[in-house]
Amino acid sequence: MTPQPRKESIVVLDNVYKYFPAIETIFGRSKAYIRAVDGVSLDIYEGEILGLVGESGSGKTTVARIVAGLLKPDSGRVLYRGFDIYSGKIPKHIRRKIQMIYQDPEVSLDPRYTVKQTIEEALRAAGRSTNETKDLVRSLGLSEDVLEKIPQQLSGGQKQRVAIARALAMRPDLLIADEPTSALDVSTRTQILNILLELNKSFGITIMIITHDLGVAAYMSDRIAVMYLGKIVEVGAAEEIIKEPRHPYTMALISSSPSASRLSKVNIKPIGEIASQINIPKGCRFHPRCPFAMEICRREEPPYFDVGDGHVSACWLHGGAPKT
Amino acid sequence: MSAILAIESLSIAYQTEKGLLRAVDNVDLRIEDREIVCLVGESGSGKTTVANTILRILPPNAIILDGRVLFEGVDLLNMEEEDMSKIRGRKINIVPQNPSTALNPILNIETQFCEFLKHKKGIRERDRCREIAIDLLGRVGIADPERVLKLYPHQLSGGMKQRVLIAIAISTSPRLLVADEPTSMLDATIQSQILDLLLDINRREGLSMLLITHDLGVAMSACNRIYVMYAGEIVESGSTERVISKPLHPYTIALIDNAFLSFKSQGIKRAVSGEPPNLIDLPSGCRFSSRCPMAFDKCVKERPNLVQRGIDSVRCFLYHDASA
Repeated sequence: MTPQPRKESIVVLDNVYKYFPAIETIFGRSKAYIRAVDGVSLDIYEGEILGLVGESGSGKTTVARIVAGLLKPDSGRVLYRGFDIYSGKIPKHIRRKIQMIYQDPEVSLDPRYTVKQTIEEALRAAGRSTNETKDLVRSLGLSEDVLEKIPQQLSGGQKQRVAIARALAMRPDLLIADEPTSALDVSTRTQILNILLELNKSFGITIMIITHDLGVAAYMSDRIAVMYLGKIVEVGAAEEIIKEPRHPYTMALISSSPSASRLSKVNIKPIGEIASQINIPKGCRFHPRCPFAMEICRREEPPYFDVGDGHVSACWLHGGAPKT
Repeated sequence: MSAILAIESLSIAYQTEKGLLRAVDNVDLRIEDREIVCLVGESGSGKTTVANTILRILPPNAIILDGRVLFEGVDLLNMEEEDMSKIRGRKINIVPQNPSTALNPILNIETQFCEFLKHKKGIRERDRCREIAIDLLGRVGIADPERVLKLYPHQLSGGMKQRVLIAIAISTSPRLLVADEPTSMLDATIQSQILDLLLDINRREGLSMLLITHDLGVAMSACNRIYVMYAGEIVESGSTERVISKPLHPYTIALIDNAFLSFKSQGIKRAVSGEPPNLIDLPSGCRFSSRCPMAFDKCVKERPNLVQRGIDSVRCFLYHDASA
């Protein structure tokens, strides 16, 4: 057997925590915390598309903002090409390399700016010539007549294309896409997803896509990480995660999604509802909803078990020796 | 079978500053007794306008251009508001898209339940009302109805609020439930629970349902028959199984292909290019022609009729010859 080439990590999250105060007393001290990110370690490999999947309250958007350099974690390290981005002020050249696009593209577009002004401003900030504006806009399948329009005059799909163009002006090597298509109709959704796939394939831009939709994650991702209540419960190759999920939460999520369950054979229904991020259940945080919960699940938090070939799952069902 | 609801050649427009917006054009739709029918379409297709017409809650700028809405054989559009208010909220009830805005935030669940029962069923005694409410909340899968009655909406999760609203909706033993995107604000695992509940209620309470959704996955798992809407028109209808497995209209074909994504390794899906037409300035030919990969000369010039074959119908010139 030939040895597999080692995958280079572009980003390493090392035991990252981020809590937000939930109820503040008059002295500004918090009595309860929302444990949005509760000990996350994750690598994003150079050139891959990583899907980060979870329901609302899973902490996936907080992870996205931490990776994007927008939110300093309480503890843990975030390395971009080996450089700890929160060790001081984030250098400009690094900030440009990591770009983010949002569910609502208007977040990154100034409502008073025409498309032309938005793109030109970004190109100037990146030290590029504004002559490239037309090419950039055209490369995203937009016609030139959008250049003089303001965001309000554009459709949802057009706005997302402009937001992507703006991000590309910075020549990023990591693009973080937070639910980029969940405000769009299905027919427009594929257009935007295909643009992202093309950016990954042709320019080698690494992409982390945050989504609640496992169908989108399957279509886009090389690897999928599943989050539940602030923790990653399972990571692995996308097809394996969908076809042979090992964590009961992943199984439940797939069974609940009509589009993803067509790609898989698993079918289990989770019990009850997602717990609050303030009172996270003891032991395994999924145990109150898990149809397979055992005694140990109520007491002890499961470690990560390596279930084969980089596929990792935090569940006591796997038994054996945990991954160290 | 007798139809609970029969919509016949319904056309609705909105008066806007830029002109008449043709939201719904010549729509026919039937719901048989105990049937669950889905109206599927993307934003702006007119599906919510159809729902609002059935309930007669159209905004003031809406104009009913033509058509009838027969409920148990009586035309709702010709009815005095006084008579309509005896049907709306009694024989026809609604399950809203956003459960958070449908409940009053300053009243607890018991008070809201009792208000509704007093208004719609003339039940004034608090004890009697509480008894009915507890029974109904049990029937929608709420484990501890006594406790839930004392709570305020902000203390309930989205899924629980939707359950409460479904309990209120079935309290008058309606014949028809109109559910406008009842699960699109909910997380995946909760969404499938609410869908299961609606199916269960359809069986147990013996009522018919019109489910309006943009999500073909939801339609697939819930409905007996599907109507597909595009730019204000019904473009296809048929049994759920037939529409999903053998779609006829190029728009339905594209919609299904784009809704059920596959793995990244399977390659890129062909996206539908472009956007839906402007409903104020509609094209003279087929409304999907500018985006249709199979369009020919005639499609741009003439409007296709809806061709009916048994329970299947399709509005496309590709099928015109076969039926002639």
